[in-house]
Amino acid sequence: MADLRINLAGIVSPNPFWLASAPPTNTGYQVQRAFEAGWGGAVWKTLGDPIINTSSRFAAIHFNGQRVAGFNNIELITDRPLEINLKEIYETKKRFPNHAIVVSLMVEPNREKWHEIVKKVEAVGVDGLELNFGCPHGMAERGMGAASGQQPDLVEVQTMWVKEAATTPVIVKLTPNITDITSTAKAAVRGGADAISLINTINSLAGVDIDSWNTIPHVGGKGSHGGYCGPAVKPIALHMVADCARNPEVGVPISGIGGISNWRDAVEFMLMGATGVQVCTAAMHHGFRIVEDMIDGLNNYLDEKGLASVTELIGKSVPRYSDWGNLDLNYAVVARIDTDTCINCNKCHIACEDTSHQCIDMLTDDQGQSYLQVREEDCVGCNLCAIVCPVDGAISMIEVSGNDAPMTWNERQEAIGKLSEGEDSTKKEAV
Amino acid sequence: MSEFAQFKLEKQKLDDFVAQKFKIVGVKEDLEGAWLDLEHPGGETANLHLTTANARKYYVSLLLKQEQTQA
Ligand SMILES: Cc1cc2nc3c(=O)[nH]c(=O)nc-3n(C[C@H](O)[C@H](O)[C@H](O)COP(=O)(O)O)c2cc1C
Ligand code: SF4
Ligand code: SF4
Repeated sequence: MADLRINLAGIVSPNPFWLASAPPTNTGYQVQRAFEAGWGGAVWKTLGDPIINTSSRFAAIHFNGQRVAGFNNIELITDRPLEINLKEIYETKKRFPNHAIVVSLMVEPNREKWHEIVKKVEAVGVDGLELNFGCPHGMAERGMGAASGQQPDLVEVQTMWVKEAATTPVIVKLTPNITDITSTAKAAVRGGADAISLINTINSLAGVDIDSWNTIPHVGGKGSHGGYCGPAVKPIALHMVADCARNPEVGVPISGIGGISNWRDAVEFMLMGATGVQVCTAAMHHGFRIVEDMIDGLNNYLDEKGLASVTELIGKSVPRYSDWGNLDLNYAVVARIDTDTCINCNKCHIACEDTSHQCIDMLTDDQGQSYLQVREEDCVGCNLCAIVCPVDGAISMIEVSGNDAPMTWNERQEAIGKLSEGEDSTKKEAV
Repeated sequence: MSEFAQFKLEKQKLDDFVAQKFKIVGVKEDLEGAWLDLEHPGGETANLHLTTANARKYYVSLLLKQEQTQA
């Protein structure tokens, strides 16, 4: 059995699975039950000036029978008094000294306010702090959360204020509601962050009820924008984690968050540079015990891969994530249909005919049976037919080795540029 | 004409020039594709218009080969 322990910027936990700061980590009762179930760490529901929540808070997107493909909330930070939270954090840490307890914080952009809360929280014995610069609703209207997190200078200065007072590692949690996540990640690092975590929720409106014309959810007939999370956001989160991981100016450990629902998702985030992961929606959907499958699955995977420690996964796929301009234009794949397993549903033909490159031919064999065949020379290898095919393995994408050496777009432009050097530029201009 | 047939035609023209020892000496790319200037060591010149994506990829592969043999 592999070693599942991780060390994120000095915060040690028995496995990489942490609960994210959210309803599952609202109380000591919940966090202790989560640790009993097997979670390696928990980021306590964000502490700050206690707020008041609305009734009717969540909504979900169910997609074709799959419940909770996406999850939307208009909940704010903790609505419980600080003293009660601190007492429960102290008791939880005492009962579970080897589990990671990180406490999420959010106060106004004010130095004294940050110093005050950091000192109070560290006094009860936490393993680290997470700064919530991400909450997209409610708090932002008060100059906190995403309102701070969307401004690199505010991220930097507030991280600095926290670092002035903190003795435990400081994780800065980033909002995805920004054009380039690395700009705020770098700001956090400039401010002295020991690690970053991402993503928080994405601005969203779950839907509109076409009978009542109310928003979903609505609070007495009115709605406001919420934060989107759950499986639907995973690709967005994974990209943002990867973008931070491959940027040398970020360079601090990453706690990956966003749509992680099983051990496979966790492995993907770790391969893309996360040291550990945090989970919210999946725990809200299925309960704390999903962590058992996560741990078992991860263990088996590591054994199969012959890896002694989960930390060996961290960042292994990062060098494979590059800019489009560095991709080989001479690499080619084509679709191939296995007529033995094909059920002749015709979906691939329609997809290619209507919306790709019209290269799946409908042919008839000697017995008068119709079958489909890809005209490989016209196939651009877009993958669409394989994506829409309902039969696993009926369409394979086959690598076709070209005669030409690898050539990226950047290399191509460089070669064209060289040609025009010192020549008549109107004649040889490259775009 | 299928995109592939069009590409094959353009590739063939280009390959023929290369077989005759022509070299790509200039290129202009615009909304209509790539306009190549070719030159024979004997001084003869020629032009070729490439429209397909694969041909616009292919001529640069040739260009890279040409650079390598010159280096
Ligand atoms: C109902 C709800 C409340 C949340 N509250 C907080 C919070 O107080 N502080 C915080 O940093 N993130 C909060 N989040 C965001 C989660 O911690 C997490 O970043 C996000 O849900 C993405 O993870 P997931 O896809 O696993 O749910 C909340 C999310 C949900 C669904
Ligand atoms: S990969 Fe794309 S182009 Fe090729 S057959 Fe499938 S749908 Fe058509
Ligand atoms: S979509 Fe798949 S099963 Fe359907 S016709 Fe195409 S190859 Fe066969």
